[in-house]
This record gives sequence, structure tokens and C-alpha cells, in this order.
Amino acid sequence: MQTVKLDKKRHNRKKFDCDVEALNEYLHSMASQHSIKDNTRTYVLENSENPSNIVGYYTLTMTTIELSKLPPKLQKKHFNNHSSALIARLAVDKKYKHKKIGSWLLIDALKRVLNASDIVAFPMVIVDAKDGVAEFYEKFGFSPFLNEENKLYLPIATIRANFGG
Amino acid sequence: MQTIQLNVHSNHIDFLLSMLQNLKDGIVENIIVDKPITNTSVTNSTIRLSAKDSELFLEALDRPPKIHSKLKEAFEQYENGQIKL
Repeated sequence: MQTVKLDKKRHNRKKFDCDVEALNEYLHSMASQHSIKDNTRTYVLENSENPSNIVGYYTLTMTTIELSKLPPKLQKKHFNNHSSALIARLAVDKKYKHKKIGSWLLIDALKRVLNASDIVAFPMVIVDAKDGVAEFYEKFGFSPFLNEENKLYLPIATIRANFGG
Repeated sequence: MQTIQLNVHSNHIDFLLSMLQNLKDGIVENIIVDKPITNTSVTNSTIRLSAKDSELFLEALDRPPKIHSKLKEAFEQYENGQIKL
């Protein structure tokens, strides 16, 4: 399995359905435009038998770290770098639920983020855990920002240590 | 200026870090640590810190990144191709 950049000529975006309207709508009509404008990048996992069908996707971009909502130690450590990668969206088509595809996509996204951080340094990846999926990310070591249960972060150093980098 | 004496255990490290910042900022003059600090490279039983040393000491206290079993396991499954459609 491997992810590729969303290609509106190749991928049948309209067939994707993860049961979350906002995530469906983003892929159907906005992801490609955002990529053309260099605002986000969306990567899709194709069905190997029919590559036009999208099994799942995630969207990456950059965001700003709210330092005051991090533990004091991290505030001190990263006081001069407020940039972070952002996993803005991650979704799996409902036909493929309960196959650990979400976990696979998360690891794939973290690998891309780790590679990017080797080229342009930034200290963490942040995720917007919409619709109460914060627990999913906490299982993998993400921590919530202070007073923001659905916005979580994971230091790049932690990804590197766990991925044997 | 004042001198602060700390009995340091691992759960006091965050407090120690804030005290070290005070040391660095010149708010306190000396910190005396009278016990070994766990999970760090500091092994002396008594440490006297000056402002000059504080930055190096802050780095020494920087614990290594956490290993998360679930994250590591998911990465290994990914790498080994164990998850299939």
C-alpha cells in the first residue's frame, strides 16, 4: 500500500464516503483547489484493484504553535520556533472501517512530516481531532493543548525516536 | 539574591526547571541540589549551580523522547506490510 498525491483527473473523489459530511465535502470539492494554491497537500490511499477509488486520505499543511498552551518545558524549548506541521484532515471510506487503515494513514502522514522536518526544521506536528476522535490520536502519543481537548500535538523528536530515526 | 536548596526527585523536575530559569534570569543566585536526579545524566549527589551553568544543566535535564508502544507497534506494522486492504 502507498499513498499518492490527490489527482483530480485520476481519482474519483465523489465516490468517497466516510460518513462525515465535512470530510467528504472537503475531498469532493476543496482539496484539489487548496493544493493548486499551495495551501495544503492531500494524499490518498488508492484501492489497488481500482486506483481511481479512494480508500482514505489525509491533508497536510503548516500552522502556528500557540506556545502559551504547551507545558512550560516545551514553551522554553521552542520559544523561537512557532511553526508546526498540521494534519488537518484524515478519513477512511466507510467500506474500509475496522481494518486499521486509519492507523496506517496516520503513520504514513507522520513519516511524510518527519521527512519534511529534516529539510525545513519545525518542532512538532499538530492535529485537529474533529468529531471527538481525540482518543484515537492520544493512543499514539499525541497530547492535548491546554484547554483544547481536540487540538493535540506530537513532538518531532518523539516521532523520530519511535520510528528509529 | 537568595540561595535555594532543593531535595530533587523525578516529580520535582518541572519545579527545578522553573527555578533554573529564575537562576538564569538572575532572580536567584544559587541552587543547591542535594540528591541524585533520576532519569538524567546528572549523577553527583551535591550540585552547586551558578547562572553560568544553568543553561547546560537545563539541557542535561532534557529527558529523551518518550517511546510509545502503540506508535512504535503501528510503525512496525506499517513497515512490515502487516496492514492490508
